[in-house]
Amino acid sequence: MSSAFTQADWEAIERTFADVLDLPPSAREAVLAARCAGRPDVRDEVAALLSAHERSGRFLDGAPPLPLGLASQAGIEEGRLVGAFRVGREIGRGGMGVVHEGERADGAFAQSVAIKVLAAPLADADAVRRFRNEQQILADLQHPHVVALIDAGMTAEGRAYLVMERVDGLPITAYCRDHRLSLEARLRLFLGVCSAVRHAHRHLVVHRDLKPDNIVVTSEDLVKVLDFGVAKLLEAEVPGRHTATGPLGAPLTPNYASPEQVKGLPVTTSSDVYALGVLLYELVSGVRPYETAGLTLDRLLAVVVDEPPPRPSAATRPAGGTDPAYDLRRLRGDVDAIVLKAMSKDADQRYASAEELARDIERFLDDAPIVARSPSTWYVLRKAAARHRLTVAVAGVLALALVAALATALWQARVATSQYARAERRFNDLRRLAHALIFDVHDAVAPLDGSLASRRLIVSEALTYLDGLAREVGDDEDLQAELGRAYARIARLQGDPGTFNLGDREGAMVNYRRAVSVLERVAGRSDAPVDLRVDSIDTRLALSWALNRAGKPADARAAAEQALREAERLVTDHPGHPGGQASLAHAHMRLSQIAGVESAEPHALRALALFEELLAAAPDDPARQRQVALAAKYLGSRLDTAGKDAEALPHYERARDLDVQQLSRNPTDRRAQLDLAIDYANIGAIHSSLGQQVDALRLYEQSRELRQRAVDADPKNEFARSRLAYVHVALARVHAHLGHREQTRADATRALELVETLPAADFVRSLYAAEASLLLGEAERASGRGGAACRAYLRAADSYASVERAGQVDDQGQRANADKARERAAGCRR
Amino acid sequence: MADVTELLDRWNAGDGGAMQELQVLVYAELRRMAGAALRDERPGHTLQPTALVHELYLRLAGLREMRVENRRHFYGAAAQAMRRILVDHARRRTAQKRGGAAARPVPLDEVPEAAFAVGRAPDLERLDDALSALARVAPDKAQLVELRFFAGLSAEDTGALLGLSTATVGRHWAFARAWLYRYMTGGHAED
Repeated sequence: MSSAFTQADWEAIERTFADVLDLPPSAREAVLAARCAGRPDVRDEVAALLSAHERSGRFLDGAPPLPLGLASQAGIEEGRLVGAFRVGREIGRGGMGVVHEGERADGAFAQSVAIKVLAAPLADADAVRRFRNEQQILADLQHPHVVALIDAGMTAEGRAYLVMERVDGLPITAYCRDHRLSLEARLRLFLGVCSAVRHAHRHLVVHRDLKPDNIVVTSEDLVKVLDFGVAKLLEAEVPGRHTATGPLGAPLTPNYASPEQVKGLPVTTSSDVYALGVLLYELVSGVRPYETAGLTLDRLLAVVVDEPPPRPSAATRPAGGTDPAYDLRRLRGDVDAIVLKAMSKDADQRYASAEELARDIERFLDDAPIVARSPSTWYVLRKAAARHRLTVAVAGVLALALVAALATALWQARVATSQYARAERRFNDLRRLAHALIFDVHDAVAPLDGSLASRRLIVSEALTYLDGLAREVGDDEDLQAELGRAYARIARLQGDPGTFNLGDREGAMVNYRRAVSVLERVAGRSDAPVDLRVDSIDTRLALSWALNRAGKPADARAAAEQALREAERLVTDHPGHPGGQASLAHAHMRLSQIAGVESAEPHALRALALFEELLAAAPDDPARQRQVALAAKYLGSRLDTAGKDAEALPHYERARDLDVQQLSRNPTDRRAQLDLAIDYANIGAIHSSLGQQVDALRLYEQSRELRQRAVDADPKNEFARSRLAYVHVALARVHAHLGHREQTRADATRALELVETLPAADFVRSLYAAEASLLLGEAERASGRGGAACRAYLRAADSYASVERAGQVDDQGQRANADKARERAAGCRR
Repeated sequence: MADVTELLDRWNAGDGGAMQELQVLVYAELRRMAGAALRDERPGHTLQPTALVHELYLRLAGLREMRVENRRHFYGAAAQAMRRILVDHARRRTAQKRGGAAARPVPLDEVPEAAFAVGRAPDLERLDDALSALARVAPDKAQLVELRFFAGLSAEDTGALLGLSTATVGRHWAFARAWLYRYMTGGHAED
């Protein structure tokens, strides 16, 4: 291949090569010579290529396999602690990461677990937050057929892990095959799977990746479904990347993926029903409805999206595949119909829920008419005959029996219909709710930047569904609990003051109240589940906080005291339960903020002690670290307010150290930014009161920078803005101490601008406006701008008046400022 | 992160940077998926790039109707990305081996030809060089090799993408294979 060949030469070489190659080897030499007359170089080239072709064997035959080393994926070292668990040896690797065995190491009790360490570190703060949200929901899924999530968290390197109940057993398909189970036994086993799925759906969790590998039968013949919602958790790995096929990173198992999953439409409870259908197909027939391995893309799409699978009774089993221990013809009719209905391409044609699918299987097992078949008279009669064990051989009896059977069947059909209608309506409400909450709310709210309008819309839509559900919920305690939690979640989205919310305080208050009233009904009893009682307490505390922010301190205090009593009862009923202990600590913390000065300090001390105990049991747990940091901050601020600066400082510093850790783990996490920003400001305030204004200035500036970042990231966020306003007031104060008139003026003005954008009902608005105006007035006066100074003083006096009306002046410095503002304003009026 | 179809539309509209963006997107995503898929590796189950490339297409483009030239660019980018992933990996492995104290450089001419003839996986680094050389002579054949070998597309799929009959794909493939084989086994005169 000398470079002397021209493009035209190469074309000739190619043509000749191709033509000669088609000839039998014996004829090649002659043709080649004839074609390349006058061009020996071309002839030699083609001959060399032909020879290479002959020698090349299976060169480039088949694509190269992917090298294993590409994904060198380390587990975690044995013996290490994650949360309360000690990591044991590696026992497996799956799509999501490495699985280790593990043991509880905190000595509370013996427990052997499986620890899954997710493959990739969570991508960023949003991913972490979503991971935590989901984990909380999953932890609530307690069911005999669901493998329980015991704990989840992050290692020090930021890798997410899940601690689950350890289950040893066989995948359900292998179990059925090895035990040569009868059709009935298989169906009963499958009912267990349905009940697990149904339970999860009622908790608004969709599995998304149901397949035999995720469904295990233990040596006690108990079926257990693994990895509920884990597919959703995994999505957290790739934030904000939504494409036509849905978020990247979620596993897609083509054999079990529904048409909507393949098409990239939202995954719903109905997708799980589809996967259940595929699983059932495989269980009863011994083969999969279709094999997707090795299909070209177009075929894969066609098969999943368009082509109806063969009836299970007509499935072609490979030679030697002797799985079902019964005649496949038994599947004809009912089982075929049930499987195909569950596997409908169109979600609307499927069973509306796992429960309905289960009911049809139960009907089949009871020889009752199934819903999946359109009830021809003959079919109904045949079923009735079977059910009543009628002797159809005797003609006379047959006639009689048919009449009786027909009557029975019709009556039962009517009963079934009305029960159905009700159940279906209820489920559909739930389903719409589930859809709105899980997919729309969660997903739309998850990337927190902006998008306020659509989030509001989603919340109002979810509320419509909830109100519909509330009318139908009746005495069903599970549903009531779910409803209460859903209201609480909505309220939090609307106006949880500690987080980024929709700024709808009134809506939040209404829904917190609804949540409290629903939850206290089901959580009030001492035998209620701990998690439900915890939710009830937490919701009451959230209500208390909302009331306090709305300037209703007496109501707020009453709610918090009620929560404290509930929490004390819970801790008495379940000593040592971390959820109960955390709730109790929360209640103390809330009371330390809103109770009178005299009891603030003991409440804060108690809260801190409780949280420190919890953290000591799991020193790496970021959630517990944050709780300790918050409690330390509250205690510090109580001491600080009481004038005990020196005592407050170590608590503030403890909080700062923990918050620095949090932020270094997730440098873009806005909540962590604000947490640390508050620490800097707290420490700055102490320096300021000790007269170290330059240090104070530096700390406040650090604080301001973090707060500004949070506001820049989400300019509509009122919580972030109010925090930024606060630090500008503080900066103005320090600048005033240092005699920096222009900076005082700049910071006070900025604070006032920010305050303008806060909701009128927010009492901090008056508080910040009051001090900022006073500082501004002083600066203007010192600069000789009397008119501007007077305008500021008048505003300061007004603002202090509303602060006093709201009963929020509890500090001597504030009182002195209020007096000064009034005095200056009076001077101006004169 | 831009959408594949949108990138392709931009590219068709004359935005040269869009193709590069597409290549980066496809590479990053494929790399991530390859890593994830391999963690799922079970004994006795070999994973082929074809599956990954198809899945990538599903993930990035979904079921939306895509014009054939856009599909060609997409698969072209995916095949190139797969080539880079596999070749880079092979390079790193070689580098690691060389780093070892006991390692001793193997002169290229010592590589036995038989290693290819029995259908063993070819030396990807040398294949990469050969493919680059082929691209200088017959770029369309080099692309065909990328699609068939690295993306694992069938002759039919490749033909549909490139607008060639399956028979033509077969002829081009035979030529490219022979050319590369000759280059890699030292039967070329260029140096």
